Order: sequence, then C-alpha cells, then structure tokens
Amino acid sequence: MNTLQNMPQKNKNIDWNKRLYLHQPDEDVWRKIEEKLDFESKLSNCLCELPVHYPDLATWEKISSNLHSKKTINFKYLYVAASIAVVIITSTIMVQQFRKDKYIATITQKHSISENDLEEAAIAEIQTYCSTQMPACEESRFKELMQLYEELKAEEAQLNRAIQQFGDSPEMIQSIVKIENLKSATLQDMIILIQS
Amino acid sequence: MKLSNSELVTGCVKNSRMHQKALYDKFSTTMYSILFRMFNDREHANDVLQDAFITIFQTIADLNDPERLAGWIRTIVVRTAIRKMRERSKITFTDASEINDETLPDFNFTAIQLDEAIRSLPKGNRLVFMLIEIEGYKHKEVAEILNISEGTSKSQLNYAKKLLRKSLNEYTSEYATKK
Repeated sequence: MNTLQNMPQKNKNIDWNKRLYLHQPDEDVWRKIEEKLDFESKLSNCLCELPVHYPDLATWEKISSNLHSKKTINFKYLYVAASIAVVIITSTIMVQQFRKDKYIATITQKHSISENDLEEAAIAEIQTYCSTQMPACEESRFKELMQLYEELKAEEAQLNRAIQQFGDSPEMIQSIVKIENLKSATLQDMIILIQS
Repeated sequence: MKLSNSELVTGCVKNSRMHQKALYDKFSTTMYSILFRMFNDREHANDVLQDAFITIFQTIADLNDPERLAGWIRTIVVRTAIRKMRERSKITFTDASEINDETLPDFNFTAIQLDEAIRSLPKGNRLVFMLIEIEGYKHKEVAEILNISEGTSKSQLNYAKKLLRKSLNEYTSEYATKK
C-alpha cells in the first residue's frame, strides 16, 4: 500500500492499463464512421450546388403595387396638407382683402370727411372775409353764388334724408354727385370773386 | 447597368422604383430559393417573399452599412418566414429516437435529389437543417430564432441528417432498381 502511494500517478495508470483486457470495437464502427464522413462530404458538396428556384413574375408586380399604394397614402397626406394650405392661404387673402376694403372705406370716409371739412373751412373763411365788409361780398354775382350754394346744400340735405328713409338708387347717387360738384364749383367761383 | 450595394441602398432610401427593382432582381432568386425550401410550397414562398421585400424597402433607411446588405436581407427574409410559419401552424420538433442508424452503401445522390429531400423533411427539422447547414447560423442563433434550446437545435440537426440519409438512400435505391 505504501509502495502504491509513493508511486507517481502516471506510472500507476500505466500499470493498471497493462493489467486490463483490451476490447476490440465492432468491425462495423469504422465503416459507419467512414459512411458518415462520406455522407457529410457529399452533403456539403451538394449543398453548394442546390438548384435555384425562381419567384413568380407577378411577385414583383404585387410588391410594386403595394409600395405604390403606400405612396398613395403619402399622396393622401399631401392632399390633406395641400387642402389645409389652400384654406389657410384663402382665408389669409380674404382677411387681407377685408382689411383692405375696410381701409379703403376708412380712407374714403376720411376723404369725404376731409372734403366736407375743407368745404366748411372754405365757407367759414369766406364768411370771415365778408364780415370785414369787403366790396366783393356786396356784389350781386357773389350774393347769387352764395344763394345758389345754400340752395344746393339744402337740396343735398334733402336727398340724404330721402336716402336714409327709402334707401339709395343710382339716380339719387348721381344727383348727390352732381350737387357736390356744383357746390365745389360755386365755392371756387366765390373764392375767385374775393381774390379778384 | 450594375449598381453597387451602396448605390442600391441610397436609391431605395429615396424610394426610387428603379433601384428597388434592381435590388429585388439582385436578391429575389436567392431569397426565394431559401423560402421555397422552407415552405415546400410555391404560393407561400411567393407571398412571404413579397412581405419580406416590402419590409426591406420600408426599413432600408435603418441599414447603416450597405456592405451588410445581403446578410441584412437574408435575416429579414428568414425571420419573416419563421413568423409566417408560426402564424400558419405551430412548428413541431419530431423526436429522433425512432430512426435506425442504418448503413448505406453508396451516396450517389444529386443536388436536385437533395433539394427534394430537404423540402420533404418535417418542418422543425427542415428549419434547423436549413438555418445551420445552408444559411450558416450557429446553434445558439437558431435556438434564439426558433425559441428552442441549443440542445434541441443540435438533436434536430442530427435527426434531419438521419432523415436525409434515409430518403436519399431511397432515391438511390429506386434509381438503381430502375436502372
């Protein structure tokens, strides 16, 4: 026992192996190994030469149409986006147009106000001038013009009242314009007489 | 005009139909061959090829390296195929114990016979065999894709080979008898 413990491990195994009976494998084993190796070899060779299979020609058409329909969805989004853009642009233009109209109306109103103001200022100036007993104001021509101006003013006021009551008509508007023009011409004639 | 992978990818990202068709023409046959072997059914193989290529075109912008294009397409095709297979029916893995390891004197089969034999394998074995022996996946990857253990993948491959040997032997025997 002591001798075995002191022996190196390797020598101990050799010693036991020498004593054991050697068994032989079946003769078939190597043949089977060889067959498997042959099969694996043949298999790997054939796998490299496997036939190629071709898809149906219609497959690409299906893929293409599917991609096309995806694109149509994009077009739909584009269409919606374009519609929104059109609505925004149209409303912006309409708002701008509305503001412009409002601005024009305001300007027109201001213009008419300023015309009336000018007219009133001119009349006020003529009256101030005549209050100093200038000889031109005593002339019959000047007095006729002043009377004509007062009549035109009265007629204009009467027409404006009729428009407020019954609404306007093209004829009434034309009459108003005519009176305005006559008033302006009358005032100009009066100013010319004063200045002469 | 032959386009490089990089040109194909760039064109497909821009949704150019010409580039998409060129990419399809370049890879469709190889991918269809994989699918036809997997499904052993032309109609299903065409349907899956269609789905896979639509996915490819929709996600190609995610491919960072155009040199990986072939592998990337193959992965999408294989994964689409397995997903579709699962949708149709459960993938079962048959037990290998019933097959005898019979001796075969001669392996005089052709690639066409092998192709037919692969397509006639049970679904589970067929998938494992194809992924490992044809597509070059590792057992670990197959286990992950098919949601099985690595051990199952190995045993299924072994079983697939046994079945192939058996059916190829039948082919060879039939051929010898006819001769």
